[in-house]
Amino acid sequence: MVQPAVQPPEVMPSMYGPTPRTCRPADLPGMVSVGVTELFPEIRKGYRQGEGVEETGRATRDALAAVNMERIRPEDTVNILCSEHGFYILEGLHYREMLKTIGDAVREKTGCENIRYRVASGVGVREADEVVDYFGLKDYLNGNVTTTHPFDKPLPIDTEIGTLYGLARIYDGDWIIHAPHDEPRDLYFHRMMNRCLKAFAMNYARYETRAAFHGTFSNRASNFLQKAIFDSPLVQEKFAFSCILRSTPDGIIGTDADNDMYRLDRRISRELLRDYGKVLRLIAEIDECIAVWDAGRWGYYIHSGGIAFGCLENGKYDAFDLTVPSAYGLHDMVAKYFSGEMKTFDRIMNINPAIKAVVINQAWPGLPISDVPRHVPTVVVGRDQAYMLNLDSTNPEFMKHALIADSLETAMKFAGKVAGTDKVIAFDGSFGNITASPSMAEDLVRRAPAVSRRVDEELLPMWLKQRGMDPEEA
Amino acid sequence: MKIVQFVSRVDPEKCNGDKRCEKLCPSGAIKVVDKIAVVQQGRCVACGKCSEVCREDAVEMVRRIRPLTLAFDMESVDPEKIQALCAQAGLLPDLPLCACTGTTVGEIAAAIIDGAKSPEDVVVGTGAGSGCGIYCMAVIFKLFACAGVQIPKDPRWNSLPLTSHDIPEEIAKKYPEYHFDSLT
Repeated sequence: MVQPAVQPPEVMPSMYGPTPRTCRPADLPGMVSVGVTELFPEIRKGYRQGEGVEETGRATRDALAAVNMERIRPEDTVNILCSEHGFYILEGLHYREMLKTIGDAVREKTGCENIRYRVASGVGVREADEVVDYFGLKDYLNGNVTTTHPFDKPLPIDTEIGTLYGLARIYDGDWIIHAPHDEPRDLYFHRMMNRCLKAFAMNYARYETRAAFHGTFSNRASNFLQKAIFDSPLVQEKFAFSCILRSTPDGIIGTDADNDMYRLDRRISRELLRDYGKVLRLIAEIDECIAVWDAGRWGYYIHSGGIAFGCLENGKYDAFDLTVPSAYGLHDMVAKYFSGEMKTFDRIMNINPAIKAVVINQAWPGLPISDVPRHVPTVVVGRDQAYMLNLDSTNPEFMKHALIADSLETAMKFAGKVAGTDKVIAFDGSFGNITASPSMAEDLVRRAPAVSRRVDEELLPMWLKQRGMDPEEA
Repeated sequence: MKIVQFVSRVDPEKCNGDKRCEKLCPSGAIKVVDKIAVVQQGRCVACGKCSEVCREDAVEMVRRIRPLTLAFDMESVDPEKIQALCAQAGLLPDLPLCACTGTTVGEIAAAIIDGAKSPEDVVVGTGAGSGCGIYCMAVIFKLFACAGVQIPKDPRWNSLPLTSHDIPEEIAKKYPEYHFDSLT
């Protein structure tokens, strides 16, 4: 079950991150990997980096065969909406293949030639441009690719709850094809409520709408925003269908597509609860660890065994359980303050007390994460990474609280001393494996059977029932 | 409070005056004059967006000789007025609404009571909105709206002072699963 450390996906070079590291956690002496499907054999096996890209293309064609595209006329304009996030799942090639195949299939089925990619960034202004260049998206659809970002030209959208703001470039075609990925990411925000629609309030939205989602809407209410936008007359008039890259913690398992967005969301949500639930609850069982960030995106969103670091950070709460009030963000702080659980507002994030130290080998700055070094011993590897964090306006005090090490090995030794544990878990962008120190791997192996039983017998039926889904349904 | 250690510097040889930087600057520090971007150092909050967006790499972030402190002097405003405005917005004054700088709701409210007329004034006066420029903006819009201040039209912002507690009762009843009336 425990094997030699598996090499993680390669890191895309970026203006937002340091030079990709040659020494990754998997290269450290003694590190091992434990397979997700060995921990939980019932999780469906998926493709990893370098595997199954053509199969993803075939799966996309199969999924699209059942989709009705009759409303798209040859003279129409069609926007395929892409999320920058999809390009960092594994090495992004499966996502690119899905997007390429959607373009080909729409052209073949409809005779429409004016099909365009609209690539939306996560946070930064030039992220999507980097993705377009790196993945050669201009080689497809006659180079008809445009990027957009949260501060780009707005489009007011009339919704059931008033005007919300989308991005004009997203909606500038006659038709839109919603083409995201399904990896749960920050489930402590979306809680598997309208998960597959989330991009409508995030990637496809101007910053004002995103701000409402995170700042002035409470945890569960915020997930109404994507529904409100999706249900708006404007979006309904343009929405053609959705095609979504499917994953389990083991890797990419294909795509799914439908003209009915809610039917697709429910189908995928059910499967995500089943496929991700066990690994998430296992991560929550970790009692002490040193977490290493080591990939080309923001620390919150870097995967280990398909699970983003943010899920460990917030992992003590079962965010799938809709009766658990504690979640994330400002409203969570207020709720805890009023309940007496929190005496002051000194922490914005719910940092899991099991995290005894954090080592940053490589990660992007650009999202507020200063609570990490303020509350957890943090070691940054390399002066280039430290400089980027120093310059980062979203974390102006980060480096006041963090130490710099010249190598990953030195950082790990120091972190081990201050954390008082030899349990290491690497968030290195991996699906399929959790790369860890032997003590951590053994701990995960030991805990997995009980977690599996509890999810099967207790939690999964509860999660499904809470969402109006029949646990007995296949 | 935010201590700003860096400042934008424009290379006039590279600048093509396309105004991409100006259109993104949350503090109004960078403006194109005679086809060259010029930085007003006292307003630059070092968010880095100008440097990020510049296709010509004409803007770089350099260390300030003297750091700039962005903070609002809360004692200059009547605390009861701050409390009242925050209460009207349904927000706690001590809540650090800006995840990047830790600026509190009370500081924003105080700045608005003291005469801030736009999000730009809040950014320079308090530091809120000077980081990612995203997450705290909804609270800023809400406080302006509650204070009755009409923020000027500007392509950099669209006032969206909507909170989950503003959702009409009929909508909340129609969709009970979203818990509009709850903090969680």
